Amino acid sequence: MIELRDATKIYKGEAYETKAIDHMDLTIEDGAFVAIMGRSGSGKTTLLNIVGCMDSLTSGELFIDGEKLSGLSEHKVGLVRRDKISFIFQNYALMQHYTVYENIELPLNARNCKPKDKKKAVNEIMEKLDIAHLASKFPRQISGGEQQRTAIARAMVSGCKYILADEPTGALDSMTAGELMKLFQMMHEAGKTILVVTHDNEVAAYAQKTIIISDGKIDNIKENK
Amino acid sequence: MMSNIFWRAVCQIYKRKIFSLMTVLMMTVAVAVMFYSFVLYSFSHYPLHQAKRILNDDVRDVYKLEYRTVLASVPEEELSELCMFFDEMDEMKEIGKCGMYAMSYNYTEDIQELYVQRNITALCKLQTAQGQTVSMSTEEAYGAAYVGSELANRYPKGSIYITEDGMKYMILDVLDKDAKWLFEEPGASVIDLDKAVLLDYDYLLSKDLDYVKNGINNYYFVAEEADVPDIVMKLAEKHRLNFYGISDLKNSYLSYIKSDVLARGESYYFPILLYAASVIAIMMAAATAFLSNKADYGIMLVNGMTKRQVMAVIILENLFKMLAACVAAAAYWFFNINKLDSTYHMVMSDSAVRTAFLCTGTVVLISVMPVMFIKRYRINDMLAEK
Repeated sequence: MIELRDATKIYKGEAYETKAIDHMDLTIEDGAFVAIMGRSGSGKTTLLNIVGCMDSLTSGELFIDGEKLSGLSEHKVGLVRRDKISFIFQNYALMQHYTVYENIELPLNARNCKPKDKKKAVNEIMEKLDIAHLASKFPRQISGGEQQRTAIARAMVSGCKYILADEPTGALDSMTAGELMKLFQMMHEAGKTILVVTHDNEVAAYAQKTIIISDGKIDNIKENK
Repeated sequence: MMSNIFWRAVCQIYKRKIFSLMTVLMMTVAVAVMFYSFVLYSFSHYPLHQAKRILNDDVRDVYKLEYRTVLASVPEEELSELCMFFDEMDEMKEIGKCGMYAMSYNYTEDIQELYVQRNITALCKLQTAQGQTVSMSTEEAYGAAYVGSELANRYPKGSIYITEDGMKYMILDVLDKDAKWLFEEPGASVIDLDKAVLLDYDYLLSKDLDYVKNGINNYYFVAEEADVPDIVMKLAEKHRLNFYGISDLKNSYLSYIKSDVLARGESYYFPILLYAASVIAIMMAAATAFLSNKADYGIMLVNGMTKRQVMAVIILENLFKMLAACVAAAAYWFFNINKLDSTYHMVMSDSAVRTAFLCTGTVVLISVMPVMFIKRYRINDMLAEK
């Protein structure tokens, strides 16, 4: 379970101060599939970064599986991120000089994983997502949809409980986006907790719940059918 | 735990194909310049090192420099006249070259003035008579001569000859073919008759060579007067040599150094500037490599690697690149050493180890530098490029 209590995030510049999240309380249950929507600048990406331990709160508390992260050292936060959270980005965030296979293998390199187990896990995921034929290709040699599948495979291979996606279909056409969201549904059915930031209502419709954020605060929470 | 981190880091390095050619080339050039700056710096201090050694009672290299200085004043065509004292002409030319170095860089006075003649006392204690039935007391033995093998017939062992001013010399022995007198402790070599070699100043003076006379006349001895026995004093008077007290000489040497700032500046500050420039160039190359791969490091962080692991990757990547550059630069200088003036060769052997050690230390420190960058960046900032 992910829990935010009275969370505030303020970005300070030389001549300005921006409150990206303003005293937000949020709870995401295990196994939930949640979409986060809002206008540009509403704080969606900031919320995702904070939940994903990529950024820290100015005030308030973040709990992941009952463990309080605010106040932990950077190294320990990194360990939580390694063990529990996977990311999927709009721009895929693939290593351009790694092959598809090596990109998917990347999270396993950071963990204490034996080469045999690594190979098995990567091959399984690639078969599942129907990208096994792309194993030796580089990101620049494959389409956007295939790159995003690679990113999803990378997120899945680590076995992390929480999957956070920042506009995963933003750079894709509607047909490919639809195929991708089915993969998200597949991950959800496998027990993952998914948080998706999106502008697209069609994408949000795949989620169980949509949280609408405005000016750093939760405006509305909709249950989707 | 640490072995795991580095193993994973090594896997990352292999897959990242870090040997970005341009970065390594830039680093190679910078490291080669750094090597050169160390040689220049050592070179600028070489005669000063020699002078300091003299003042610290280390006379070995002084003797080398002394003879070089003497022979430097002899034109090459006349050096053959003196080949009796050497086995090979090449050896003499080598000495002459080193002597030319001393003259061309105006350090002759430094060296000549700071020459220490400590074996005079031991020499005059020689009382052994060899060869024919002639014995010599210390008062008679104003000089002992050793001749080269080519002159063994003309000056057989044990024979005595007298110079125009009535000085007696006994030929004590014939030079070994492999005499390494240039490199031996003078005090010890005099006692060992089989190997000892001594230049006979009178013999040199008896040859009507103006250059030799001028060179020898420029000799000065440095010693504490209490150490100099009477015989030595007589020798000194005979050869018109002057004694300086060591403490006086130290003061004059130090004031000489201070007064010659400009000349030293040319060969002292320039290498420092070169070194600073090469360090900056290497740092820029390392920083550029880091910044151009910043997004990749962000991806690694996002996908489970801790900051410590990523720092290990960065350090190892830079180390590999810089050590490759060091090896390439060393290989370049190794195969192109002839491009340096031959006078630099003299300092190369002295400074090579120090140069390699300091250069390697510098690049290792610089390779650790980029981890300071990663501490400043948030993960989002690192991914922002993507």
